[in-house]
Amino acid sequence: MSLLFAFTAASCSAIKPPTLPIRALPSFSFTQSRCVSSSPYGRTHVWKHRQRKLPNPVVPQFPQRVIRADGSTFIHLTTSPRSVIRLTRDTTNNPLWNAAKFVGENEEEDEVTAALGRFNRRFDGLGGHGEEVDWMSGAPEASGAEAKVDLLEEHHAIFFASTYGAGGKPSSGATCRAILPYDTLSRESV
Amino acid sequence: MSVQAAVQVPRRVVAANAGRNIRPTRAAPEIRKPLKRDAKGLPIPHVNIIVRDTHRCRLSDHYYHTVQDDLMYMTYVHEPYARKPRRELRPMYDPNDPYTKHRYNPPVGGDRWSKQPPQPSAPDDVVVLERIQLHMMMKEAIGHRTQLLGPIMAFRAISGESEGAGGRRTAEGVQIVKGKKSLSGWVRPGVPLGVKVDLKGPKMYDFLATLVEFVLPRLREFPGIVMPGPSVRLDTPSAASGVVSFGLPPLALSLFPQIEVNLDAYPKSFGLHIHFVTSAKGVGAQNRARALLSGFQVPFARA
Repeated sequence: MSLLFAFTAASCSAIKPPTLPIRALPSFSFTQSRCVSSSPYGRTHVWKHRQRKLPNPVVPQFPQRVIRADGSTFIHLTTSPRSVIRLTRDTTNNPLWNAAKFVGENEEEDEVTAALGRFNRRFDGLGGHGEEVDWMSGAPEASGAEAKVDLLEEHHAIFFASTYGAGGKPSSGATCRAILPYDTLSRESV
Repeated sequence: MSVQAAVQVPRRVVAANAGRNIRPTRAAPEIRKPLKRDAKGLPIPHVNIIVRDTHRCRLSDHYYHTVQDDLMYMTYVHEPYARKPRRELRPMYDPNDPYTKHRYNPPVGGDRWSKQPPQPSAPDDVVVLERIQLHMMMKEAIGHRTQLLGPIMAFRAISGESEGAGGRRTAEGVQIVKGKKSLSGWVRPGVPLGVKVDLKGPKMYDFLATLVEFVLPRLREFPGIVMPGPSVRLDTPSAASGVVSFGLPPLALSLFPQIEVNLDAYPKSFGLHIHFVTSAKGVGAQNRARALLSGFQVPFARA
């Protein structure tokens, strides 16, 4: 009974103007009252009770199996109500996504139609095909060619010894290119 | 002996209950009276209802399993020494003035946010996609605002977003864009002009997956998203804000599977702008954002 009285008294005091001396009494500090907070910052931290309501509906989503052009499949949820979708053009066969796949196609074309193909067909028996033509195969002096190779190797040895030094780092490729004779340069670039 | 007895007694009890009651808690109480209805006639639930994620997100998993580590590797900049402190510039207002004490007080000449270097590379600071914004403007909507109904429904179908859907307060859904300025003979403030929607979280990744799987490969004559040349400055606001934007032509709308299913329901086809907002900031942030997007197979092409 006394507890009930305390509650009513507290609620009354909340309604009354704060000039009343009763509010200052310590006996009222532990009575629970919704309208008065002991917090010096007000009641902004207290969650306001609102009427519960049914939330807004979500946009319906359906599972959909996607079959790509190469046969791979995956299932995703989408607002489209079709259960299966089969793609004819997608990332697996679009050249934009498969640049590496379409790199070799030009070679066959070259062999049939382009200028290099015509050249190869015309000079077919000349020892070589495409870009791997051995230009020195029909040369008159075989010994002269060997001597040239020996000379080249010697030249290389001298060159590397001079540029690398004793255990030093090799100089940059640009300077190598500049010093090397013309035919070595062409061998390197091929 | 006594220990054995003490063990045996509860065992018997558990065995007796095991078949009868698997559920650790009590069963839900029987419904005796229907739920109360609110002013709209909708039932008032007993609890706060919120619809959370219902399934794994394919591209989100892809990001956290694969792309994130690769990006960390690709965008890593090694800085062995501490950075030089920023040059102290005089603030625009007197800092000793009590009026400006806790107010925004930029250095003279502005804070030059687009000129700032990016944050040092760190595993917890890898570029991540924050949101995707779609928007479109329709000139006919100025005269007849009902023209916007088609775009609203199309955006709702594409994005799957709805205002407050499933009790999520942050779901803003499709929003109507209104005019801000007054241009004679064209726009007045407050006139509905277009439609926009912000996508975040799994819906964002779902949209990105749809775009890459369905729309971009089937676009005719699509060269990839054209990047500016290498001579473009990296500290302009567009290059330093970490946003990648591009547009889709009106023909692309019919390639979305959500629209394709009932294309006749949409009276008009229209193009849309797409902004990919990432967490990249600082000089060259747009390039890092592009690196992120190409991890999701968005094709970029040189001009």
